[in-house]
Amino acid sequence: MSVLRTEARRTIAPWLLFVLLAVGLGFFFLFSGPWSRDAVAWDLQWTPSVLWSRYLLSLLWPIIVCGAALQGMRDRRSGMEELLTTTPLPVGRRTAKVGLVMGLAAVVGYLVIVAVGLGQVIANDGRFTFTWVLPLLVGIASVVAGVAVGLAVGRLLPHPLTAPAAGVVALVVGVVLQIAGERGSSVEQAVPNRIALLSPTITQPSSPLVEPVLAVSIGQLCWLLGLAATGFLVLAARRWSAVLPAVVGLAVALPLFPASAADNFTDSTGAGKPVCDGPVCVTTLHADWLSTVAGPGKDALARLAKLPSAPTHIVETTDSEYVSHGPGDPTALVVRRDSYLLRGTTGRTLEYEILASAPVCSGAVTDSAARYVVASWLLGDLVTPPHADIYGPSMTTSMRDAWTKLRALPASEQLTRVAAARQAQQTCSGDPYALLTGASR
Amino acid sequence: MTLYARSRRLPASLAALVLCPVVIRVLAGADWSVVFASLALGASIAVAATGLSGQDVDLDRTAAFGWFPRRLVHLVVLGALAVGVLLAVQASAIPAAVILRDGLGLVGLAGLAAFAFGGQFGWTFPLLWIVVALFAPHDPQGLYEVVAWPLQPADVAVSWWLAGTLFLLGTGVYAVAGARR
Repeated sequence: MSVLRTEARRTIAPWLLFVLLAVGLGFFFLFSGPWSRDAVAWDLQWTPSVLWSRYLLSLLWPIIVCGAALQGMRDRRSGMEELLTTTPLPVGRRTAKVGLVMGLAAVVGYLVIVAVGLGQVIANDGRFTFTWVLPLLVGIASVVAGVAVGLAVGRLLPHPLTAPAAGVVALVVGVVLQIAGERGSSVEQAVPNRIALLSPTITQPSSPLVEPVLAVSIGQLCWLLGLAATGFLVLAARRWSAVLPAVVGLAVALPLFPASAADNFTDSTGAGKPVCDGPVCVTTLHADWLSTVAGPGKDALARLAKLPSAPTHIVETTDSEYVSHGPGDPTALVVRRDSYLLRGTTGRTLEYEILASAPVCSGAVTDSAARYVVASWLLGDLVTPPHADIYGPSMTTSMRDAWTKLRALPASEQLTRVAAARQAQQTCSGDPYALLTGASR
Repeated sequence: MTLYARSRRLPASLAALVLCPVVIRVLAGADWSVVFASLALGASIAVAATGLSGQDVDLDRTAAFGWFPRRLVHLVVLGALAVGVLLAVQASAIPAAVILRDGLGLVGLAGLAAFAFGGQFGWTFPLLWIVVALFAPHDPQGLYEVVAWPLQPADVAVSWWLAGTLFLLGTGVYAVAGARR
């Protein structure tokens, strides 16, 4: 233990731990995005929480590599390498301690971030399955590989420019491979899926029901552990045979990986199967929500029936609303229980939100205003949305303007405009607000 | 002067300073945007900042001349060069004011890092901040404008205030106190 304590004080390991925690927790807590407010939020279910921590590695991995590279060149930079070769202690024994301390700092930092996420999942009573274990092991392997590669690079090239260069290269490689793994991205065509899966990070989880398929996790584990072993071998003894573990890991991983990005994730627990009450369906995961949503859902469908091409049934999805899923079935009204708009609402408020639900198209405030004006029109009364404040002050004025203009028209014209606006919302074509107010015809 | 340049590893620094923006500019190709520009600027200032101290800080301090103007000139010239190279390689797609502001702030960060950790670690703060800024989500907007100040358009006041403060603070402490021994 005392050796570890001495090494911890001689290395930058405490700094690394501090930076990892500050950057990682700051990212999750200070900023909001899909990880903080959607069905895939990192504080709701076990597997997505672990996957988000691995997504975060795209930011943390370069920092780990950079810090380890800095540490790896310590002996040479302090000009005592020659002196150390005269000691009888094998070089492997000495570097093992540095590797251990740096590895511990990085892994502890990573695990604390994971634990903070999982603690919130437990507090929120998330669904427990064992599908999070393998992804977590891959995440740890990725962190260890980062430390090993960094230390090895630092030892091989002890130049002041090495550490920043290693950081930048790690960043670029991580980001490119991550984007390549995202379905529909422009890089996806350029980089084969098998290469993209070699990334130390992972793409954003698109739904809380899916986890990486077994072959992907096992392959990544082999590759990353091989990479880590190579790094540590280079550190202990500079021989060409040191690259062997990485090559073996690669040789095992590549045939295991699926050829297409569509096969990277799976829903092994069947939690995505629908449970229905008449025309209203929810996922098995949220079966307890069915009694809440069935009544308002049926009312909403009845109100929508007066529009042409109205939806006939409601389906719940847990897919992220921030990931494009392409055009869906026009007869189905898609709702998301864990969207911050719907979470916790009941009765008439829930019905109002269901009537206003539509794909997020441009993200403009007037788009949201148009959705709520359409929903208000179907309810027969202008209602302020429960979350109006997040859209800013222009939301209520835009809604009131459109509402007065709309209600001044004859009834048949109102129906035409509302139908046109809703059509535009559901298909993301045209400007629904302009259609509603008559600014574009 | 030659000795100074060698002790500060100027040849390698300068080569890297020129190489970084050129390589990133070529790689980015038609997608060239403020993201790549700030990455290029951050990288070139970071690599150039590896030479912010000599071999032996204590020995340097025994010199019979004032270090203050030298340090100040070194840091400012380094920033000016990085900004100049970037302006030269980019085909005027990004406003020069944005690049100038980023240069000011990043040079300040380099000075701060050299002061806090020592000359050969001058690259840490600029690079870390650029990496964090690139990953900063856009929501909430106020925080985004602060964290990702290098990526903001030229008319965001808070980014100028931050860059200016960092520049004054960083060059100030580095010029007065020098790199940590």
